[in-house]
Amino acid sequence: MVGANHLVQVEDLRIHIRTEDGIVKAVDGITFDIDADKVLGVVGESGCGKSITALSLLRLEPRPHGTLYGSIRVTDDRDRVTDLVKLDPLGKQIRRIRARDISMIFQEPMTAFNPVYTIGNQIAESVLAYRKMPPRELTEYCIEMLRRVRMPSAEGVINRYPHELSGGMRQRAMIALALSCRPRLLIADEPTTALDVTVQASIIRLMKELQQELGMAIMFITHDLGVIAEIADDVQVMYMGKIVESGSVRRIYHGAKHPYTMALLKSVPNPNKLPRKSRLASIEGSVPDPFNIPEGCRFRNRCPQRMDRCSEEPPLFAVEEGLVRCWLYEGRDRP
Amino acid sequence: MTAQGQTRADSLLLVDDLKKYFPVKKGLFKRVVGHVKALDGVTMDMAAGETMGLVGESGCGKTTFGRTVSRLLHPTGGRIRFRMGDGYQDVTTLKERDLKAYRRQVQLVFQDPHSSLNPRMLVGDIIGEPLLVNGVKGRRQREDAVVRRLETVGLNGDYRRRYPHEFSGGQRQRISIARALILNPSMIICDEAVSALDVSVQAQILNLFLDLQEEFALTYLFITHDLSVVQHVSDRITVMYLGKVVEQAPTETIFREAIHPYTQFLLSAIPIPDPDAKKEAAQMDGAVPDPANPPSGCAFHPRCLFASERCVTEQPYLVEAGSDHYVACHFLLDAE
Repeated sequence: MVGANHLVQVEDLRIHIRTEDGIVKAVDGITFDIDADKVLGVVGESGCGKSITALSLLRLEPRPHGTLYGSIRVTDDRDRVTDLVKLDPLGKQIRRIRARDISMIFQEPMTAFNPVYTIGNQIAESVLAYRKMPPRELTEYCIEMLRRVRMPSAEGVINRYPHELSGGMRQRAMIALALSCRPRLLIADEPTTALDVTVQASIIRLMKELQQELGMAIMFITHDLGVIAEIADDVQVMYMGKIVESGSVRRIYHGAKHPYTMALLKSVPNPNKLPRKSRLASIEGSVPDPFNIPEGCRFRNRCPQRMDRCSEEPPLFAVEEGLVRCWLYEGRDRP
Repeated sequence: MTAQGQTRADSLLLVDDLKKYFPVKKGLFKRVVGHVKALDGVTMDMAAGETMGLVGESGCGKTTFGRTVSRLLHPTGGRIRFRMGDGYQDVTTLKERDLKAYRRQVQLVFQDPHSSLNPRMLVGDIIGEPLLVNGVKGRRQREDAVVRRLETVGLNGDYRRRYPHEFSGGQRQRISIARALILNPSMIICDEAVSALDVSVQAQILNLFLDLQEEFALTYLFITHDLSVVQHVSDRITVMYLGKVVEQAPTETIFREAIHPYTQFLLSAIPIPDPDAKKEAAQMDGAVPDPANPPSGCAFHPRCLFASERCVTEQPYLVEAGSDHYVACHFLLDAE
């Protein structure tokens, strides 16, 4: 499937991390594409591998303990394809991709910014990393970037330090920094989790607007199913290093197929569907220990619909508008 | 008229005009240059067996309220009364040693189960410590109580011989709850008790809270920024903004007929897990003002779409807007 629209094609990506107690397979064979001008939402509970997948798209996986296998093919603006897995993580080529093609924002912008440089300084630095610009023009450009993220009094903010801004403003500045080199893919790892709901709503609105204005792709990682529903076009659900279900956001929310996705959706209090103080449908047990992954389907011992067949690892089956990794759909086409 | 003065027959906790100011110190001699009014006249009454949800953005004083009511902080002004036996005891100014009886009744569960359990203590000792403090000397007796409580919260009694790090986040929160329950309190203050948990685990813990309430007729003060959670568990909701109550009403009323513009703004920001849900985008931006330097008049006026001149100069008070529904807003009064 070599579509012109695939910005990133991840195939059979595995991320193994060596620890004192053995190898953790943080990501265990995932395949997905990120399309230009779409928002891909990635949901899962902590430890499912969603953040490390994002980091590996920039080759920021933990070193030296982490090793990548499989392929991550990035198509650049001149239609050249590069496999990131084969690149030297400290080399020139990956730096070029980080500067031009893929950018990332994080949950806590305070730790992502350097506290001793002004916001303007830090945006300028990332611009200069990939192109030359005379100082006056550079200042103008930084202000323009801050205006683009609807930063109030952008002229003043370039001279401010990160700690002088509120959480929401910092996240805006972070987005401005990430967009300063006009990436074609923005990876957002829980960008609104640390914010108040009101600020979260404005950041999500901003990201949606920017995505349409700039025609870029966004990979949006979160554990919050409400946020995903508001921003994503497509969703993939991860559980213990595997993608268990993927598809369009409507299909996932209105017709989830995998028992894990269904359970996840039912465990959020939804005022429109549930009477107050009724018991929520929780998933029994908790996410298994990564050294002790159940054989066969990983969700098996928490699944309400487990069968004998589940002791065998399920492959992906095609369902309408997506894929699901579950034996319940045995007999459907395989992708 | 105001929520003050109104006393239900079944009130368990009565908080009147509670104030907590933190001094702002500056310079070499740490001179006090001002105060942050974290709580600036909060009034609340809680009936036995009810769940009060307390919501607001970060910095609105909701955590300070929980800590002051539980007397972990010393109030600057106001009054806290708690029902003990037949009468009410004023616990506002009680000294540490006289607070024991109150603390047996009011317990806390915190957000982060990683930092609220001592990593060097065995789970059994953590849960049993309140008993020791309150004079239960017999080792056997304490151990029995610990095992019973562990089982109440859905854990194996043998876990008492393990350390907190051996447990997952959800299990640790269960341990915190067991510790809170060991003295058979009548009220539990949950300060963001489910916020740090994964959704599937959050649902388990919320169910546990609901079960325990039925079993022990507990009263909860549920402090959280997550409005969907608060809506699910609360009987009534109090909305705070910069140290003041802006609206208080039964849950259904808040979600259906919120009056205060701030409450409406908060509600419109909740992400709904349904891609087809049409939402009117709340176009109100800006962050919470600096609590050390709050705006004049109604503290919300710089962000409010309906702010009038009066809101800039005059501070609104809580008035009754409907049955059991209190709002502090000039807009409402002007409309009448």
